[in-house]
Amino acid sequence: MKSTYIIIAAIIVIVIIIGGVFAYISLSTPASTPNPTPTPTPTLSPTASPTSTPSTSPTPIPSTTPSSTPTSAPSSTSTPTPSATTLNVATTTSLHDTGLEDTGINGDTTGTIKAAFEAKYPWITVNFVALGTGAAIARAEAGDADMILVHSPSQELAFLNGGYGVDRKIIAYNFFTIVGPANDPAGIKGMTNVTQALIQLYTAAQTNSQVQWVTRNDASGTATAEQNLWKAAGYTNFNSLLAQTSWFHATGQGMGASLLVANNGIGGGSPAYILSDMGTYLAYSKDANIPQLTIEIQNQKALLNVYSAIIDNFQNGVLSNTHFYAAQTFINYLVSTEGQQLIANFGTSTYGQQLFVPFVPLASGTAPNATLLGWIQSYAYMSYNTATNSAIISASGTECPTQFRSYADDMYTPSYDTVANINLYTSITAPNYYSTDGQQILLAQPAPTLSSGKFYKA
Amino acid sequence: MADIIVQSFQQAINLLTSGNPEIYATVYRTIYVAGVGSLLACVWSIPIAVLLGLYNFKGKWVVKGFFNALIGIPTVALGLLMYLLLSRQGEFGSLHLLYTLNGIALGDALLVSPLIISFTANALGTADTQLRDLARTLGASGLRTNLKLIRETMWSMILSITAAFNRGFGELGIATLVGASLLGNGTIFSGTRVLTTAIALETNFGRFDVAMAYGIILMAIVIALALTLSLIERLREEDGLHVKLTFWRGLGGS
Repeated sequence: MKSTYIIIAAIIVIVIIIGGVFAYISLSTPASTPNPTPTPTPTLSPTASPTSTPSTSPTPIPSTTPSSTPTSAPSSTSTPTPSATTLNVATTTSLHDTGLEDTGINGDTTGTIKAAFEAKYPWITVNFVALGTGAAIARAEAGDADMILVHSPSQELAFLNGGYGVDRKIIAYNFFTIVGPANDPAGIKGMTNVTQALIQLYTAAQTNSQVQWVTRNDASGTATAEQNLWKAAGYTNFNSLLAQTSWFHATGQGMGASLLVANNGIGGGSPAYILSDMGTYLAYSKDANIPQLTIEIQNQKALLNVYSAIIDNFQNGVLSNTHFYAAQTFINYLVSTEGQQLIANFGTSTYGQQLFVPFVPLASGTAPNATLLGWIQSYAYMSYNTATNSAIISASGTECPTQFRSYADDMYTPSYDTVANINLYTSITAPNYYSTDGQQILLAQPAPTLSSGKFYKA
Repeated sequence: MADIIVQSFQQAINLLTSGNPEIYATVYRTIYVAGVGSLLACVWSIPIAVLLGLYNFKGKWVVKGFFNALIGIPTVALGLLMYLLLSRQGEFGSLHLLYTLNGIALGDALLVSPLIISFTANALGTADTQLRDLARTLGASGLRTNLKLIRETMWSMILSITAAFNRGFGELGIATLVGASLLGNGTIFSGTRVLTTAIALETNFGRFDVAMAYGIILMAIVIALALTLSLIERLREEDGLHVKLTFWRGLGGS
């Protein structure tokens, strides 16, 4: 009898210990995060505007007048070589899984961002942590990443308004695509109105068991975009769609895994329709992993997919250890002519199609396309609402409201070297359209005038 | 699909002969985290196992049952716990173990500890019932009896450590959540990509043959290790037999 009591007591103690540990962890995590007071960083517009105005005029000067060469050369040499820094980038899987960032195509890493950037900035080691957009933002909010590369404006907005991010910069865009079985049982192939297509698909699915849909539903940028599409089509309650399990299937997995599910069909049924990003779809098609799926709808306004970079706000106490300067250097590289061209050319020879379209040529007017720019502005531009003290999506805004810019200097000055012939989206044919060091002035600028050393911390 | 499996064997050979230092580094990293993890686990697991195997106390079966249950802990669950603890905001964030090989090794150590404890404690317990009385009758002291018992079960301990190594070698959850599968530049400590995360990553890319090739490399190492141990065990037995025979002949036997 006595031993029974001891055993019961021991079990209770163990349960209390385990429960205590979990409770402590679950309670301490939100407690240690700061109150998401929408306190944007101190606006540095007075310092930013004087530096940006002169910087626009010297930019063309070095290429024309020889006198600027001695001035630019000392500025690049006098830049103190910072100590080695590791930059952790939490990135969306659709950018990462094409191989653009570090893995390359078929193991060839020569044309990747990591290889090119580290060759130019040897003191920065850049690491990519591949996650869905939701998870990537969560890592950055915990200070476990120095910046994010994501594609979901609504989630980016929450990140900025929470006081976690500064200096948002749009780096590239492409289009989502709706893929599905070749025989197209819902009859949506080639439709230009995505809303109408989804309504037609929904209606067909009620009677035709061949019409199936696979959704990721994993808080990723693609899943968020898809939910917005269904909302726009009038199906505002996504949970009621998820409840229709006879044709609406949620995988909760990444893009590749979900494409495979759609390709194989559920329970041996017909292959399903699915919203996919272009990169993953092309990569999977190339290797003949998804032979049942063909492109049904593409290149529509509603399917726009915009990739942005946001730096952790180091002035938020929790994020004070993040590497702001390295992250800014990285973004400045991505939007430089060299970085933009690298993005444009990636995968073209392998896939026969451009995966990502650089944004800066479009925004700077080098490759004007008013329609396309208008689409992107209404989808991903932001302005500051002084009444609510927060950023909102607004076509009349900018890439990043000035209230959320921190030591931005001329990050937002449109700058792209003249391109002889740039064909948007389809292909870029001229590989030598930038001068070798056209962006040096922008990139070799000294560190921001802050307590120096802080941002070089390894 | 069958041709993919054939292709993947070819691909595995291609990978290993490609001379790409990052692939060798991936293999070395996997060996490093599993090896360091198992050895680290031994530091606290073996004493606990000795305590559980050789000493009796009230409620011992509860503790043993607890460790037995923990053998099956999901690697993702432990990985998530490790991530929360090692995160910059976590309780142990100041150790800077997130996204490092040593962080994964620490996670592996925690993962395999219950396995080493249970297996070793069981082996010691079994040997205990068989040998303790004999040793005591032959006049051995308590401490000497225990030392003898530990020596007798040494081989079981090595096997349990090997099993621990294999579990650490093939786990994915901790390596993904703590290590994040960062690509290195060919040296071991420059990245955290290990074989299992490489498999997961290549699967995401849709390159199933390469993913499978990494799986083949992983299995080849595990099998090689197991066969080596079997060989040692066999040699050891033969050696023991040989010694016994010499002894017998020395006594004038045939």
